[in-house]
Amino acid sequence: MSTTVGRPAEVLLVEDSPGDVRLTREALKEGKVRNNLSVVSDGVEAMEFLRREGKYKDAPRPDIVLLDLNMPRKDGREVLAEMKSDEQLKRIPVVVLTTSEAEQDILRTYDLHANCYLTKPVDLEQFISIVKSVEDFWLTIVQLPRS
Amino acid sequence: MTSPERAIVTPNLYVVPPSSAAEALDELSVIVDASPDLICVTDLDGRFRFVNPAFTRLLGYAPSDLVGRSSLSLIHPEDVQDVIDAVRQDPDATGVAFRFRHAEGHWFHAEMNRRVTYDATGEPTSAVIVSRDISDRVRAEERFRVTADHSPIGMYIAQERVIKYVNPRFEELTGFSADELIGADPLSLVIPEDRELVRLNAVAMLRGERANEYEYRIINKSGQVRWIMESVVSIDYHGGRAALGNYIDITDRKAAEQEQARVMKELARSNEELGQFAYVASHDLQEPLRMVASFTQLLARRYRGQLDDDADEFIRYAVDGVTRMQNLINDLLAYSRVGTRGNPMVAVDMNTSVGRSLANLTAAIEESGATVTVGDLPTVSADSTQLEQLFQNLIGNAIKYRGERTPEVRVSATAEGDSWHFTISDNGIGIDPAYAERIFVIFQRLHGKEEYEGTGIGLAICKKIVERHGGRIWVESQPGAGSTFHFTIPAQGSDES
Repeated sequence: MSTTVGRPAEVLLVEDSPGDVRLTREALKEGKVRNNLSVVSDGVEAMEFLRREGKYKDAPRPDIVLLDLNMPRKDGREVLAEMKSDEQLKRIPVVVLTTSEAEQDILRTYDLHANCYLTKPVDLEQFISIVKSVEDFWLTIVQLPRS
Repeated sequence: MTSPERAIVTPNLYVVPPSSAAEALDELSVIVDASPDLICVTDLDGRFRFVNPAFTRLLGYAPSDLVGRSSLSLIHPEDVQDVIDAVRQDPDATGVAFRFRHAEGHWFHAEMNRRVTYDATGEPTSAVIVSRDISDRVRAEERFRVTADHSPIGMYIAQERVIKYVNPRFEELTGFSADELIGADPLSLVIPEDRELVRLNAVAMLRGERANEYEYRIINKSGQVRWIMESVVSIDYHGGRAALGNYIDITDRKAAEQEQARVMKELARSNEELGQFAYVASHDLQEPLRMVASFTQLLARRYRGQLDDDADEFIRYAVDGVTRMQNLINDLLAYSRVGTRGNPMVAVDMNTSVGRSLANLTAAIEESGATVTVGDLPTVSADSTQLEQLFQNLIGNAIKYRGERTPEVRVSATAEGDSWHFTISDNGIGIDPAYAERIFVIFQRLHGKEEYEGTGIGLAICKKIVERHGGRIWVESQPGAGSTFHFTIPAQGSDES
């Protein structure tokens, strides 16, 4: 899909902070990959989106999930665990993007088969640069399985 | 009196039998003459028949002074009845203490052994009384009694687990009177769960296997539990071994100790909480701050130069303020991490720590042309990351606060008692001694931001690191005359973990 010309990359952002949603949106806007950003604000909605349930029955299948860890109702760790144990979803790359620098969060996340763990930098320039790197790496460099 | 040998002395005491009765008698009379004890023979009514020279020597009586006198007439009126009772109970009484009247009127303490002699038909003929001078013992007992009567320490004497004597203070401490205590088992005062421990400790101490006092609880007469600290010593008492116990009531001290332990625990908890608070606050403050910073920066990035000059200036101040706040929060986080995220203390070679800190300061050293001289440094028990940071901050400051001259920094250490004393001295701008304390307070600065940058966290972190290691830090300086920073680290390491 990374090479699919014409179709914009489908990005699902699971994030409860509107500020971070906006920052990510701005950063992706500055990137060079055409993308279609969908946003859900907690883990329950994220699973509904991924499983195309309820109001998400027409949701696109994401090419990549950007996942925050600390969220209400169902947190990012639970979403990750559910995705990676679901035959339909396990191959979607999950990039954990969080403020936590805690060692146990990093270990736990990789144990749950996250594809990468990133800490949100405090500085805007760095944040933009990280989001661009994610976009660049996961949407243009990496070969991902089809569907 | 049929056979002289039998009459003179028990024959089986002779190692070699005397050659004649006369020889035996001669020897016997010399023995009696030379005896340091008072030896007398009385008739059955108690009248003196014979006294040895000790009577003259010790009591001042010549035999002629005692003609027709009863031995009882020389005995203290208060002791006469005791002596009569003892003899009535056992004509061969031993160990009867009494007082003799000296010819000059004063009293002489003695202890007598009495033996009745019999004739061939078994009729008693006379009494031989051997009395020994016990004034030393009596004086010692008297001294003990005076001491014990006025001692602030509770004292008792126990023999075969029976209390024989208690002093007034002991009565006061236990609430029981001497009459109630004498004859009782000393362990009966002890609360049941402490009894075995007391017994073991007392036995060990009496045997000399234990040197220190031991502590336990008793129940006094009014039913209160009191903490006691006791030592026991083995003494001679009326011819047998006994335990002399010394008793101190430490209930108040125990209560104070418990209170102190409680306060210390509370203090540690509150410090811990404060540390956690600073950590959580600075950590959680970062989140909203990141929003403010990011969007102010986004504003600057997208709209600088597109609005009017005022807008650009406002944006600049906003970005500047946010950046400073980020630095403060990061520094606060670093400060709180000294207490909450420290590593365990291990043996650390200070030469290595200084070496690492110098490597981190390479840019500053090269830029300023500073020379840093490092003496021979010891190995101490420390958190190596923190010690590296400590040296880096202090040496970094020495370079940063330089004057016109090229910085010269010296690092050295000397052993001082149980501690190592480190010094970092420079030839920089120095500090007014009025600020010597203040510079170690978090976010305290002595210079404008234009002169020297920084939030004022460095020395506060240094102080926290040194204190976590159980040492202290201070500065000696004069403006313009350079500064010497001192800190100590205990050689054995502190208990802090």
